[in-house]
Amino acid sequence: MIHSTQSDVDLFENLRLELRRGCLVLAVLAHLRTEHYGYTLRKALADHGLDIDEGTLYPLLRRLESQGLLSSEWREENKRNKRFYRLSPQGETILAKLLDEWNNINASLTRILQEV
Amino acid sequence: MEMLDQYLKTIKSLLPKEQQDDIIQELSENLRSQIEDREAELGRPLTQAEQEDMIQQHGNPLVVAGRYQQQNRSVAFGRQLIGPVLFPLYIKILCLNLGLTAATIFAIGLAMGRGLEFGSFLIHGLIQFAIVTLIFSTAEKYLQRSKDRWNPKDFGIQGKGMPIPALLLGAFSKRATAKDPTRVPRSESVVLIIFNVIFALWWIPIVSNLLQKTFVIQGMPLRLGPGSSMLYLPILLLSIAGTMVTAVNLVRPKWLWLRASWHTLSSAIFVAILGLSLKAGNWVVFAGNAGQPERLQRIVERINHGFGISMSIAVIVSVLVFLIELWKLLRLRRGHSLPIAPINGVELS
Repeated sequence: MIHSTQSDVDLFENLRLELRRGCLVLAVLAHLRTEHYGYTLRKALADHGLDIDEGTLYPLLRRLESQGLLSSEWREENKRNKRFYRLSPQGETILAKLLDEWNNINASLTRILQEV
Repeated sequence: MEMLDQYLKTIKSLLPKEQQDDIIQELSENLRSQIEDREAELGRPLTQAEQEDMIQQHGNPLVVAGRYQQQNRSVAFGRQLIGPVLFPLYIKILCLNLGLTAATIFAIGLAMGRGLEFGSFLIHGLIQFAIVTLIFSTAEKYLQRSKDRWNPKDFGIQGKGMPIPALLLGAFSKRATAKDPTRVPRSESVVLIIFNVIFALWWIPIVSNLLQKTFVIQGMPLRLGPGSSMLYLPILLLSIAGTMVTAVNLVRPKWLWLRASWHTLSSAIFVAILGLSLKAGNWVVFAGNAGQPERLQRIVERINHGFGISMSIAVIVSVLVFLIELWKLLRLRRGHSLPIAPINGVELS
């Protein structure tokens, strides 16, 4: 019988977060091919089964913008000023490369799992 | 929305200045959109408790602000002692502490004509570095354990215009104790201990150093007189005793009587210390030979007269503080906020 200790749980949690981190960036970039502001982006990702807490998503958007992958503008919607993000031309190039990489990894992993 | 505004204000105070407005405006819009969505779902405005839950879910202001820091710096010796969330505050406090120490030590050195005393600064600086790092690594440990147990109301009540205490309260407060009038909040005890330790670290080297020095101001050799020197030890002992009492309250938060009694006793002792200093007078005296010119004696008299007035005002304020503390103690004894008694041996908490 296998017992799951606290350190196993912590280890799994760390590895899960590590795995998720890169995927989240990919999901955010992919979703911002259409324009969103922070809250609607979070809802849209959640609707696709990818929950991200606000504390992670909003700073991530700013980081991706400072890296030149996103562009943003303040615009009024429903009489309120909101900051809308979308993929920048540089972001589009990087996203395409990242998706290729993702597909390669996914294909390799599928092959490995089928062999085992 | 007052709670949300206070929450945002607290986060703002923890962000780098150049990004504060931009981040807060964006965060505010996102949170308000979330509230509106939820209200549309429910078909009614959110209650206070629902707003509190939503803010709670959004995260401890310390952690939220920490994630916006573009840097990911931390202090680690083998394992991480101070993480990226507390690191910016750690650096601020350390710089402030070391800056003030350097300014004081160098100013004294220059006034004494001994130049910049780097050796003295190095010793005091290393001691302060070690203590501040120890305090923050303890805070980091506590933060990791309790970061999800903060209470949004702490920021509404205590956070107004006080970013650092609000931050510390946020880091250390626990939902269960925040609203409980039968306990001394652990957050309060932790903040007081930190302030007392920092104060003692300052008081011991700086004041003891000042008491032995001779200052030359416009050609006059001066040193601190009996009115000043008699303040040193009693205030230091008062601070140490205060730290010990607060440490007891940290372990025994239900001993409200201890906090109230100590506040009353310490304010009475403080009145006595100031009174004795006022009686002793001569806060500044000539360090040179007797028989100084009358003009210089008059200047010293004027300086002491100024000290006398300040000290008299301090005595009056301290007496008022003592009376307020005494009133609080008597009120507590009359049972206005007595701890909940155990029922059938089961302690309510």
